[in-house]
Amino acid sequence: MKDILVTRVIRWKKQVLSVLFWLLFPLIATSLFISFTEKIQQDTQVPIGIVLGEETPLALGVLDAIEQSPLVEVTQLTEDEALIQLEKHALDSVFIIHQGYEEQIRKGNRTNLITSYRSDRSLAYSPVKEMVVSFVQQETIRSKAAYVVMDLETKYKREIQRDWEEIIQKSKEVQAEQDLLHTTFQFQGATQPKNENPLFTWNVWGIWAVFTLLSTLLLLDWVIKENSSNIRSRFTFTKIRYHHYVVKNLLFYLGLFIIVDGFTLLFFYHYFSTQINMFVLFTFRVMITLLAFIIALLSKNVYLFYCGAFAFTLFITVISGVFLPVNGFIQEITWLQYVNPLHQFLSEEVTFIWLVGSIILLCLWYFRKEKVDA
Amino acid sequence: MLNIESLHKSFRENVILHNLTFTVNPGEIIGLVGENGAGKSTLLHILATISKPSEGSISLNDLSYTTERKKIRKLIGYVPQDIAVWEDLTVEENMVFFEKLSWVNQTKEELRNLCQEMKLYKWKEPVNTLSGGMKRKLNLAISLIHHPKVLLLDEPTVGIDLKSRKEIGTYLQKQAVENELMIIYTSHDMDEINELCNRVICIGKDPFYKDMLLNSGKEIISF
Repeated sequence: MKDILVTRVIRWKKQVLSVLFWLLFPLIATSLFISFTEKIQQDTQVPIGIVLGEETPLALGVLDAIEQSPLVEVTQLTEDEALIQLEKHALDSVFIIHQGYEEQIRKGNRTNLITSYRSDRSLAYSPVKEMVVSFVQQETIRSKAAYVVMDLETKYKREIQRDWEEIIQKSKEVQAEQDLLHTTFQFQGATQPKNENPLFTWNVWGIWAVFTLLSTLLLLDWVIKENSSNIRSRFTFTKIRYHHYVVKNLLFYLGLFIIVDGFTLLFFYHYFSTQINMFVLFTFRVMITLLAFIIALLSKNVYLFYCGAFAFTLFITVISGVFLPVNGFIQEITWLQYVNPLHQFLSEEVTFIWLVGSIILLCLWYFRKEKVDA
Repeated sequence: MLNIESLHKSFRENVILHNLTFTVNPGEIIGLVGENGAGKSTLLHILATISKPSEGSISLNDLSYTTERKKIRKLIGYVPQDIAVWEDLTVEENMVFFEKLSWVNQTKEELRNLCQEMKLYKWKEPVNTLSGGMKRKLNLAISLIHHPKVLLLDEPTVGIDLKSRKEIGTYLQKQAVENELMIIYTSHDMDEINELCNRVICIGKDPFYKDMLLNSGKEIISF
């Protein structure tokens, strides 16, 4: 085994940069993709200024509702500061919630509650204004409804009469439970992080799995290069048969992959606070390595193999729903999940069917070679 | 001693080799000539255990090719017609690579000496920068790492300059004498065959090669 490792190290020395690049490619590409898309999301948020004339529960409620929106980046300022920032075009628009806001709402007034400012470059003013107005209207109607409930409770002499705050609180609870309007896009297998409200939540391990499929295929191109070379004829006169040599090299690669996967696990946990069951990761890694190996064994031409690797990865990317939400059409075409080797991993399940299939194919190849070489 | 007796090889109805019987003694260089398609490479492949004969028996130092293939392979050095080396590796790396896969352990110094004996001095040079002659020498050197008793060479000097050809020839003669190596050598170059070989085996129906060797004074075996 040591001798075979030395031969592999000799080969690796000639392609150290390429091997390192493709080994780290899933980790780097996933990290860059996630960081880039998050940055894009942040950059596309509209900067607005909110000036609070009072800090009553209703005014703070509107502020909180606006801040929760993934579309805007809210800065709370004084009126003077806000207008200066607006003049500098550092803010798209400014909304001032005046003193007496809560009182006016309680009275059922729906006009002149908020003043807004915009500049000649306030491109997003209209949709942001509509959003703010909708929040104010929501709170106004909620308040009005609370008064109606209070009046009804008085009229019908209910024993325990709730005050305005209680009714408002209950209303918010009901709204949160039966929220039909708020929809977030969620990718296959993704779990939504707590305390955040992004437009999209990515399945970090799903994205990693797609990049891993590609990198594993490309890293195993040596199987074709060495299989088709004249070198193979020499293995009749060496202490190790060619198929033993290939399988032992595959084990070295698998070991290397597992080490890098361990590092990836720590990295993702640290930077993206995402975890995965280690056994799920291990079975996926073994399966994907064996699958790539079998595909490489079946390939004769390394350039066709490269084209096939990219095409296969693209196909798996599309049907996996990692980058594009596919829940709709996956439900229509259920067999797609069976041809997707990433399916179980994306569902955080142990990759069983494809793993067993790959092991059977590998054994068939190995024992056939043993028979031929006997 | 290599004994070939009543060797027959056919692919379906196409008879390639028919009733070949000859022996090769230690220290002997046997030339194998014949037109293209006569069966020279097929015979070498059979002697190298890469393929099996349809009929007949072969033994090497009393080891049967039928039952002792693994032991026999340790005694065979095979130099393929195509250069079977890693083009991107240096001469040193190629030698170390195949030494690690070989049955015999050798130090780097021993490997280097092996190359130098056949005047291959570019130890640290990548193979893809070497001349055709140097590559052929390396191709041969790799086949000798495990100290074989039989060396089978399939047109080992094709396409190389005269100087390298002479150096390889001289080295093979020296190996045959000093190490009692049995060498079977195919070539289309009759001067080379005349110069190197103790005996010549002509295979195929074309009498051209046999006629060319009639006045050489060599023992000719014809099939």
